Amino acid sequence: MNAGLQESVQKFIEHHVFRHTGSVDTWNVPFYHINALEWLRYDGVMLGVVVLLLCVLALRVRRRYQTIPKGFAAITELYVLFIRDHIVYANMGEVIGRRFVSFFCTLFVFILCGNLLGLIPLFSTVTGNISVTAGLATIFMMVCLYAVLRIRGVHGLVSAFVPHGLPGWLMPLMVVMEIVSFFSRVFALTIRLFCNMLAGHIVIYSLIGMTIVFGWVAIPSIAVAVVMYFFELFVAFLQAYIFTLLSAIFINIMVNPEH
Amino acid sequence: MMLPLAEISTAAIGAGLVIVGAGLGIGIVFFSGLQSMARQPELQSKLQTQMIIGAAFIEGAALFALVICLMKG
Repeated sequence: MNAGLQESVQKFIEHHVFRHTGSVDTWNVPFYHINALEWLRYDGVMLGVVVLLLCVLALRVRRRYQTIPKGFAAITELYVLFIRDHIVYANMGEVIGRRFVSFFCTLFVFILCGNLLGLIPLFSTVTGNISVTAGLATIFMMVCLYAVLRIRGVHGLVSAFVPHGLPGWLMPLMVVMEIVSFFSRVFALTIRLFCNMLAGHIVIYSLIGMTIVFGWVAIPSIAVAVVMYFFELFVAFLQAYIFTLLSAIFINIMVNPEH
Repeated sequence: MMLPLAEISTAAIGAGLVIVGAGLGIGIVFFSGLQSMARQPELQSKLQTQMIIGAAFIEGAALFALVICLMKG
């Protein structure tokens, strides 16, 4: 492939992947060009759509909740029990976990909806924007510090960064390393979610971009792109689960002293 | 040293090396997980959870380096 074709494929990928970030230029939108589906390619608008969807679903469950739930409320109850038993109580214990069940439920369903709605062709992926995932990881960091402060007190906040049972001369180095590892966990969470979502879309755009570069010969690559869509579906669920699970594990590491 | 007449994109070489490391790491995790599942089938669900967590850690680390490769070239 010569440099011209390579550049055009790169431009195709960049045009499709990076056009979803950015803000809506409200002063320059002509009135007769406003198409409802056009707005959804902006990540900010998509964020509002995801939040709206979650609020609508939550209100639907809350208004019709009976003692023995039926229908959608039963599925929601199954979901909350799954998060509570397998993610929160398994990692943080019952006493501490009670406060945080709602946080993890919200986190999981938000990331899941964000990932899944990005698979629809004209919608943009909310969690594929690094600002959104950085925001989620910052929220996790705040919840982690709040958990340590609330459960272990201000003294606990200092002692959470000081590992147990070390010779005295090693302490400053280990404290620095613990603080660095705390921030690297936050950074790892954001980049893991962002890269997994972005990489899925880049692969699909590359495969479809091959038909642009090579023409009729590359029709089977569309079949491969469909297979990659199914894999991206699996990755959407997996990444939501991994983000929530790792948040629970990291909060447990900070809150419970490890002996 | 290794630049013949055409240019070699170092970002692509870096990305390839990252994937070699990640593939080896995830392969080792799943190899030992499957071996343990074959020895003790009753631990299957616990081991599966741990394997997926380990694979996600390794993939996260590989994606750091991949982001740097993508930024470079």
